[in-house]
Amino acid sequence: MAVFMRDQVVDLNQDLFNFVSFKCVNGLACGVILARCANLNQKVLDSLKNYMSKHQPELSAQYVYDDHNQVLSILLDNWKLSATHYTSLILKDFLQDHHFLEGSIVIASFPESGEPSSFNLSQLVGCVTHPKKESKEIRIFTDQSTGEEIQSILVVDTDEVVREFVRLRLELQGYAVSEAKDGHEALEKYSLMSPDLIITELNLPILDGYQLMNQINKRDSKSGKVIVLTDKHLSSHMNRAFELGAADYITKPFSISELTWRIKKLNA
Amino acid sequence: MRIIEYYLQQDSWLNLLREFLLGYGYLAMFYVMAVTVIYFLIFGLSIRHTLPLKRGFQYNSIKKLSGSEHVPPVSLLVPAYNEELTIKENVRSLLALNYPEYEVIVVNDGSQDDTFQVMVKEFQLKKVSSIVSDAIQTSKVRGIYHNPEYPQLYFIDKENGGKADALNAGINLSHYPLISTIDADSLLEKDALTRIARVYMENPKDTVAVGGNVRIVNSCTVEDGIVKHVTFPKKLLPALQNVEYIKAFLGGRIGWSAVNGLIIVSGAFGVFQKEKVIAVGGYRGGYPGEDMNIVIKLHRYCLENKIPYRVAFCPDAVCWTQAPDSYRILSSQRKRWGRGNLKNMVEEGFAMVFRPRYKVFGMLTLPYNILFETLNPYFRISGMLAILAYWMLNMTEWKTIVVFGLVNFLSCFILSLGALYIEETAFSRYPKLSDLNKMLFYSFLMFIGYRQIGVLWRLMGHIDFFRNNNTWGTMVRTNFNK
Repeated sequence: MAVFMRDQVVDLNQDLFNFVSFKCVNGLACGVILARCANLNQKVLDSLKNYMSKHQPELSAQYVYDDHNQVLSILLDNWKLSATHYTSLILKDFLQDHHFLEGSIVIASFPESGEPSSFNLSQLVGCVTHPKKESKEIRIFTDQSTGEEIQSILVVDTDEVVREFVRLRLELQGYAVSEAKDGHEALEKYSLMSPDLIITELNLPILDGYQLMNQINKRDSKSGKVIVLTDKHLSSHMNRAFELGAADYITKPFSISELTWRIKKLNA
Repeated sequence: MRIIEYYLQQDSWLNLLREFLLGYGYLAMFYVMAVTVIYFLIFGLSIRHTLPLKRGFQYNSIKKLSGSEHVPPVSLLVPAYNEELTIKENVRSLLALNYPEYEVIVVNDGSQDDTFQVMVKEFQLKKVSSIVSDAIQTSKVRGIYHNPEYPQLYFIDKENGGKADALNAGINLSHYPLISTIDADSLLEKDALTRIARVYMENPKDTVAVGGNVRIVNSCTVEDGIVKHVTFPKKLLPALQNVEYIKAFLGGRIGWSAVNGLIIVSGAFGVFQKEKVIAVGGYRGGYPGEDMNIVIKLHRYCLENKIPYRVAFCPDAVCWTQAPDSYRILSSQRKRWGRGNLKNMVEEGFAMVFRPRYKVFGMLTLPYNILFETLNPYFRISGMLAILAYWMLNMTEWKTIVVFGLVNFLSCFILSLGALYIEETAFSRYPKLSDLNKMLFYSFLMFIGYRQIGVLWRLMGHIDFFRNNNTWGTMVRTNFNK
């Protein structure tokens, strides 16, 4: 069990991502415990390691202390969320006994806590380095990308003007926006970038909007949200779109403020 | 010379011939004057209605209509015979039209190529047992295919029975009160149906048929079944047909529709009231020209039963079609048209012509069509022979012939220019100046050879008719993007 010292938060993110995604690709669970502690050194880490393996002999873990951000991370091989939680209790005892603990402890286990994407992992690190409230408790990390903030948006429409208009306006609001001109391209971009939100016309060549939603539902149970932005005004179209899991239905001609307001409402 | 003439004058039968030729000359003059008057009348009506039409489609928000619930649902009927190359692209484009409620019914008319396999594979169709009306008798239907993933798409597989039969089978399955016929080698513009529906909605009860405008897609760039860049055809024959179509559709059909005397709704793209089409017994099978036939029957049915009606034309609803680009295929198409036209006149036209009961249609449209379209080749050929005789018998001098020729040419050329004027003011699909020059050039070129050979083709079609040669002829399909 190697122990590393790092002084760059970027490296921490990267290491976490590499390790976690490697495990997950091989079909194993990967527990992660991040704790904010001050003034750890090699000797303390060694004694921590001994303490942990004494309490949990079957534990196979990597200990990394990031000096710069003062974050201790422990990566647990094949450790489910419940087991990770138990381990974190032992860790907390040790850290509190020696007065190392400075902030909260955040635990997660991938893929239980979400996709091991670099976005999720940086969110995880952010929970420790920039906590919302200062308290020395154990918190369980929840997937941010599907749950809360919408960051990336895919706009699907045959009309270039609509696409560009929506993209420019949404980019001003700070979203990362990409475009697709038909259902097929949209599906490709979806699997490539897995955007948080898709704004789609129903009337698309090759794959229409319904089929697009259907395919997305099939691929991903947690399904990216879909807002339909369409020329079709009939209630039957609206019904079918909502049955396929559309989050909202906006008809053209539309106002961009209405669209952004509805996106914000999805965020809440 | 004098001596010969003297002897000739002695000959009494030659005198008789002269008398006859003189009589023919008067007749021919009246013929030409009459046709010119009708041409200009119709053309005047076309011009007169261009501005209102333009206003009509400029101030209507087509975009809004294309999603509105007030637009009537339409069943699109797409007969397909050996269309494996274009069918996939065509159906994809039809499935993505801007129209609130419609269905696409593709009818495989016993194709010998892989049309059936291409369709079933591409859209993963499964055989369904659907309830089909038996309003019109058709050839045996082998199966109806559907995929819930594409709820608006139906596919009928039937034994070969011709285009009309395929359309009838489509009518039997269709679920909506309006039907629209579309050739499988044509591309509809996305809002074409909405534009036609707008015309229909102006008077939904009386409008029994609305025709769309057919334009030529050769040399245009097509992407995902949508015409992206409109280019004037580069080859000679499509270019000539292009100006011919513009003249016929814009210079002719706008005017004819203004007096409710439209005799044809192009088979490539038209919308009909299903109820009326069934009432007249559906499409007539077994002979080309079924698109003209159905319109004549609709006129007849409505006039005989004193039903107020109109057959409208919607020049802004565009359907792009592939024009034949080889001499062989074009000649076979035109012979087929000639044959179909004659058949329609024999079958329906002669019974209705010059009968006041049939109003404008019987008193103007049909006389015009019979005298100046169907019988046109005979007048032309006899006219040529007569001119030859006049010259040989010294009854005329070359100056007179030249003057006559020039007057005739100019009057026709003015009509061509007028059609181009309508195109440019109201539609302007070819906005480049070089395209306008080309159109002018080809409008002129039409008079040298193309029109004459067209007359010949029509005559050959008539010969086919009398010899009972009833085949469809050759039509070769190619991919849209070559």
